[in-house]
Amino acid sequence: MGKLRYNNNELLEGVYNRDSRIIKYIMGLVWVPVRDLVLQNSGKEDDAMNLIQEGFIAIYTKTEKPQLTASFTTYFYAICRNIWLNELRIRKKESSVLKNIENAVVITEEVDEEQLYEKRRQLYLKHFKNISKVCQDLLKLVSKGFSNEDITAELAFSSLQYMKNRRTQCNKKLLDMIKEDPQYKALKYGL
Amino acid sequence: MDYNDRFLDFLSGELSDEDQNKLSEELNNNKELQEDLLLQKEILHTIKMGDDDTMDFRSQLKDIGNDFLEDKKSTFRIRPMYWIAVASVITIFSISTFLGLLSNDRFMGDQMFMEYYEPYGININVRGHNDFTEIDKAIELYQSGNTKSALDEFQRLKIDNSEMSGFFSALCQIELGNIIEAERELELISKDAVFYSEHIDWYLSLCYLKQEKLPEAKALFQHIAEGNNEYADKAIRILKKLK
Repeated sequence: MGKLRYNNNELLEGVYNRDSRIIKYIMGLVWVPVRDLVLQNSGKEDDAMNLIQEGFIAIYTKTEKPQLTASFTTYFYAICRNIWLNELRIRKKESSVLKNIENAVVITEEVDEEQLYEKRRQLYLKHFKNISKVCQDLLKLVSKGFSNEDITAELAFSSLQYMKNRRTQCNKKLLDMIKEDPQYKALKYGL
Repeated sequence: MDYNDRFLDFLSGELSDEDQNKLSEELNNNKELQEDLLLQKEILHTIKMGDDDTMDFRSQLKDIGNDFLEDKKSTFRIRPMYWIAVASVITIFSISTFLGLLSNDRFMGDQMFMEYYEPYGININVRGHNDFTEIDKAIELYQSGNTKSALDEFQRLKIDNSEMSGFFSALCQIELGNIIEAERELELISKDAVFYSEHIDWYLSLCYLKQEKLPEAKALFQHIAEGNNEYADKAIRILKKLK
């Protein structure tokens, strides 16, 4: 029988410490099942590698270290599977609506959009850090495409309606802060 | 519900088709609304991508991922001899089944096994060259028809990845004609299966079928038929024939 090169805790620590050697080792462990998951569910091989990277990010950005009850690879695969299911759900729905709008709002001037976005990104993050922790957690889950039911369960809210109310408040608060920022108007892209 | 709520529902895939169409119509004629949606989308994207530290980690992951894929970039395709072997087996199975049908009105488990069994992953490319992972090497052995060596490898690798190695070990056992061992292996991993649960159920049900364990086979085919996966249609067809 082969020996385990790293135990579960070492693998988890390797992610938190951004240890390239361990991260590459984990990619080797999960590549085949994640690739199969994606290829068998409307995805391409590129999607599989992106999904694995999102899996690492999901672990890395967790505020509390998970207590593993299964092997690290099982845990990692479960994360990837959830992300992929959310991704498929959103891809199915977004369809042409956004494409039409994004095509309609064409940037007509020769502006360095990348630089502008970087400044807007900093602006969004500045205000995001200033909203409450609960609001941050809630909007993070929304941004990752979690369903309303999953968010309610994940944050242990008492009801779906309560979650929606909180979501409305949190989002409004953040939008107001951004829009009221004097920098915002100058950074709006073609808007 | 205000527009921002509807945007959030839309961007989370929670809006019904009807509401989505309505929103789409409203957006078409309202530039301000379009801008608000793009702003909402961009903010959520920024939150998703994370802060500078997370962005830096993304960049690192991209490099590691490229490196990982570079190591595997020479695409390996299944050897021609294996294709011939697979084609021959399927042809023989099909002819046998056909002849079996002529001599018997009723499908029996063994015949149905022959009709429905296909080696797993014959259409999957295993990629890699110099730095194959050990699992890739074992899968290559399995795909090239070197089943006994593949089985030894999967058994050795079980400690690192019990489900995948167990699954492929079972596939090797089927290829070697060791159906009881395959069944035992699949039953062992099926309870906690995450990666390959649908495939494990399918091959386990075929093992039951092969051994004429019809109650167990029917129960599992029923379970598969109720699922939404690539085996559901086949399971439904088998269940009809088993009636």
